[in-house]
Amino acid sequence: MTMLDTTGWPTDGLAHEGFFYGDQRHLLDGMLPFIAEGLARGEPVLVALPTVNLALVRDAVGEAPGLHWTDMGEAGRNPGAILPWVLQAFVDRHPGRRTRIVGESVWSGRSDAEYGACAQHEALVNAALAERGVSLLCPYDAGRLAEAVLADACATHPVIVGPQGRRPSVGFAPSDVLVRYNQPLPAPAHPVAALDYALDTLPEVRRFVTGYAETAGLDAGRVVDLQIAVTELAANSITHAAGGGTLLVWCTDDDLVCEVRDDGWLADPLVGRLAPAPDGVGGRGLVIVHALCDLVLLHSTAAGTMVRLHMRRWRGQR
Amino acid sequence: MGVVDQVRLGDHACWTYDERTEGLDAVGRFVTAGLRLGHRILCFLDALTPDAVLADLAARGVPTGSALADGRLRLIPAGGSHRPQGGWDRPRMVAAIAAETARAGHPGYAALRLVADMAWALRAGTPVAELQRYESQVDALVSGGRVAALCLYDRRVCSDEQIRAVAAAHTATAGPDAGRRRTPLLRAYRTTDPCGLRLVGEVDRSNGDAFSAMLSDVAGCAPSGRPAVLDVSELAFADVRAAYALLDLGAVPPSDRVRLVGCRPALRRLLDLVGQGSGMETVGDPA
Repeated sequence: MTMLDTTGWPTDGLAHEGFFYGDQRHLLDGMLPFIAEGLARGEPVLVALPTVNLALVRDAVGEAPGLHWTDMGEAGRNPGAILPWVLQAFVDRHPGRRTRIVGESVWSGRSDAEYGACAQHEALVNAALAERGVSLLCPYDAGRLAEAVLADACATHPVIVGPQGRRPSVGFAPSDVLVRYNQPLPAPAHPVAALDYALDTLPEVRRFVTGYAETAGLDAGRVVDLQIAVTELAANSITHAAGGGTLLVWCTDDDLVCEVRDDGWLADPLVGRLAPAPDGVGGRGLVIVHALCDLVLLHSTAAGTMVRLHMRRWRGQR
Repeated sequence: MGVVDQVRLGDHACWTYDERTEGLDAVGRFVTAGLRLGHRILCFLDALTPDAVLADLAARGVPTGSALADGRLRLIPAGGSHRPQGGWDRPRMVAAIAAETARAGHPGYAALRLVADMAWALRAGTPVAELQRYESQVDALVSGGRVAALCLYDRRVCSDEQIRAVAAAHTATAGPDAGRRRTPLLRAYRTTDPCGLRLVGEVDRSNGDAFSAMLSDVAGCAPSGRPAVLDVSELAFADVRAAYALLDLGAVPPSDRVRLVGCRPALRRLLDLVGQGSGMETVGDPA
């Protein structure tokens, strides 16, 4: 077995493997056979890589029927959006067929806050897609990512392909990763505006946010996205917590940040990470919030929940 | 000036109060405005008694003698014909309101202002689901634009949860402490050619049930084979639930039961997202 063996994947159930590459040569050596095997088996293949790697692999592979490409730098900028809107969306679009996906969600430019959400995402994949027929290979840039990040990858992937070959991950413990990264969010370093809300003041929550969003330079479409997201979180507080909560808003150099705090508990970590069935009720709002925001961070315990939304101030028009 | 002065034809407002005098004040203002505008006024009363309402109007210097004499102002006490046993009787109550709203605004009849003092219903242990059903039916009767309804609930006899559930079946919710909002959150105007609704304002969890009630009403109004038309060009905000309600109603292609007119880009994108999340539509290719 060579160190870059990324073929011979199972034909049923979820296979979720981490792939540690040292440089672009290694990345290509791993990607090409994985993609080729999928196409040869007639499996729809999705390659979701950050911008630079996407261009590299796409140039090397070329186009083929059944082969799809996604810029993870855009579609996965919010790690919480990757499961419902990239992975599940692709699997759902091919009902009754086994699918094959390359998903690079962690890269060296990720902020610490984003990385925590990435680790949670990788841990949740195992439970979220357990019943789905999908082969998911997650590249990790071992040359640039920190040791701790690679250790987390061993804990979130049952199998690792790396310099030692392809082997079961001895440290596989996704629940530990979920616990480790469910941490209180760091206190804001900028002046914070606060507003308490209840059912009959939901419209004021939107007015409040809108003023700050416009000042922060968000364009009109993004302002509405934020209104929808904040209204949804506040409405969830009203429904599930003690009838209301507190909204905090502040602006950093890069982001407008809104945080909703209440005394409810989101006990199921998969809430908002999967698009619910058409008749499903729970989690419909949070999954939309993940699609609308540039970063969603969450900390929830029996004592209360805080959800923090980031909207980048300098993104181009959609 | 308070929110109650902003209730207009087509509005179905939920008014909550903590003190009996606040409830009487709301009724007094609502009736006074109605008399000034030449509306017919019908009040189904209970704890806020006819005598107390008349005393409040007298204190405002509002003459009521001729309006009472010619039936423009009717104050129905508890035990009136809409619920002769004094208990909960939804079909009879809705029928009583429907009989009045059917005539409202037609030639020879003025618009109608309806007051419903509802505190007794919760006090009597009526299930909230029943009250929601009742308020949704009232919603459909009011949304034609020839009737304004003011429903009063006493916060002291119900839990916040009950108030929230009942309030969501109204297009607007207010109380003495909600003076910051000057107009109802959502207004609906019935259109006849094409058959449908024009929606003005905002939808969120606070009035979402009323919105859903309006939607199911409009879906049934169009002649068979032709879609009802929902003009959302003045719908300034719709939340995720509202988007799901539109999706369930068949307002998203390929369904054509309801046609949306004037859909803003933000609402279109939200509808795409909820459709995609429900596996209904695939919007764009991941490529």
